Amino acid sequence: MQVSFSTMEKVVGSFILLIFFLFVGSAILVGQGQKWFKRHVSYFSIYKEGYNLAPGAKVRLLRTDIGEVTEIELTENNRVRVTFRVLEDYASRIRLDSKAAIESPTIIGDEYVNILLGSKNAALIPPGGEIPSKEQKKLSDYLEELDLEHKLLLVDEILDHIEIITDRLDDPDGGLFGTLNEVKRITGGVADGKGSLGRIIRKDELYNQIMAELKAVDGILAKIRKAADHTAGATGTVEAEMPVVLGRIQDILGQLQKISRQLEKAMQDVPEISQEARQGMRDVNEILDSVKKNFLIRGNLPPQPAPESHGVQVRG
Amino acid sequence: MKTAARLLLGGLAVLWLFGLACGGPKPKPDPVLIAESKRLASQGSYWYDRGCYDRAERYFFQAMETSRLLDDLPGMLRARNNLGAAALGLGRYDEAAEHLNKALELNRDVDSRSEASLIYGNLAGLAFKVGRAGEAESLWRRAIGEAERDKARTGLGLHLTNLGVFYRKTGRLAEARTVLDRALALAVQNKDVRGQAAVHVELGLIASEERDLTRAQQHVSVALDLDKQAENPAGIAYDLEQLGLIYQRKKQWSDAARELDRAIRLYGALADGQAVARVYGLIKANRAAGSSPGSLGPYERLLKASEGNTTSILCQ
Repeated sequence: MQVSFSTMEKVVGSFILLIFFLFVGSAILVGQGQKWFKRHVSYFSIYKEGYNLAPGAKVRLLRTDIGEVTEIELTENNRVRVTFRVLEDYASRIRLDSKAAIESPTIIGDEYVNILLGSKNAALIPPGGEIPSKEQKKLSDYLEELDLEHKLLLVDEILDHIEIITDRLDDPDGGLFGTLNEVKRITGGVADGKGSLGRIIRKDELYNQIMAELKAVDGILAKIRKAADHTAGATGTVEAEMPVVLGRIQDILGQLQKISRQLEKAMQDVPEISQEARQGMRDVNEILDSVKKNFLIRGNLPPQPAPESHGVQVRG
Repeated sequence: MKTAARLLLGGLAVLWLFGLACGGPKPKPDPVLIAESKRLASQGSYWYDRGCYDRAERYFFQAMETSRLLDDLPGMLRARNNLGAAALGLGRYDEAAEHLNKALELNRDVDSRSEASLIYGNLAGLAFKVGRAGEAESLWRRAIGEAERDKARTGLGLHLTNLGVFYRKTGRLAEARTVLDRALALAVQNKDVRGQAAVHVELGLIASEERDLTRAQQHVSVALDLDKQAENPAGIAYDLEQLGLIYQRKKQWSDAARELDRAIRLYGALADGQAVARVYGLIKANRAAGSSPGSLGPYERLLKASEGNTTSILCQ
């Protein structure tokens, strides 16, 4: 049977064929860019936690992308198993003493798996094998590096000291109040004629004799009186000021408690803020990567100076 | 018939596109890794030129690893030679020998005259430093021969200058002047300011040994100006030290004290302990001559500071 096509049918057929080829061509070009047609080798590593790593995260060797994370799952013994695939071309670089570390460009950057090179002489890790892991530094590790714990301990120690001092001041038998009570008891005894001083004051003949001898030292007595007045005044001031001082200390302690509560709340918000910042960093990184790859921008980036070999200049 | 031909052509086109997608016959090297390799090598050269050999060494090592990933033999060769030069600068002669010998092995495959010239020159510098004078001379002659056969004459001026240093140190002053005159002409022709400075200081030292101190001072002063122009701190320090020595010979004690003071401070900043100790000896001698006022305290502190394993502030 002879099948004949009209001109219109031929045009439409050619158009459909053209579209099909364009589609296949585009798919191939995209696939080439995404390395769909390259052979990969899978490995896995076990970590204590996932460190916000997600499937699709990059795998790098010497700051060069060589693969991606394919799967993240929890193991039966509560560990995180991260499976990733690496371009077959680079599999020969992964040795038994290589390490897979989860890293990020900054503390809150976009996590990736960084393969640390092993020695040349070490044996190769077979495909599907485990690469020894290296745990990521946590925020607490950074805080440890900053010695924040030590500083907080110091603050805690200072607060303890303040508490001990205020307790001592507040104690009716010790410290300031104890001394004041002692002074009051002694002066009361003298006034009642108790003790040596009290008896001297109470007997008239002794009093007259003493008064006669004391006339020569009137000036000294006046000075002693003046000093005693001052002491009494100072003691009065201390007594008067003490409630105010204690009130201020109470205020300060109240403020510290308030700050501590606010700090606690802020620390609870940190993961949320960190998550948002992480997302922001991820977006910026993606934009920058795209910009760098753009053919209009790529050509305008400053060229790298050419590497050169060096010769030693002898002096002396 | 025509339709069958068209279908066949279409099918072939699809097959061709798939072949292209699978990477073709020869896989292209990763452009990101190539850029990284270049960046590392350039960074190493940057620090090497500033005399920061330990920092340069780290970059050269990474450059070698990336070159290995790329199977880039010329890159590996360059990195090996540079690692040898850096180890030589750090006084680790065994390591330098190992790197330079491996570079020579690699050059058997690369077959580059310019690289061969630089490797032989560096091996000559190594032989000279460990006191094997005869070997050093023959290696420099070989380096000069390779450089002369190379179109770009890479390293020719450097090798001639180094051979001039060797001749001066071994008392062959006439031969030294001949090679240095040739080196100076080449450095002027290539607008190599550092090279010109290195030749001038050597010509000054030859004049000094011939007791023509006026000519010696002229040459070293020119060298100092050129090293300042080239921003070469190690060169400037060396020129100041030589200028101080010339003033000492001329019994111009205060001028000598001024130049030696500048030299020792710069050596201190460069963390060159050996040079600090050497200039300290000269300053003490100058002081013993009776015309160097001031305390030796600051110099003693510099001497003590440079005894430890410190890094130059210019390399941080």
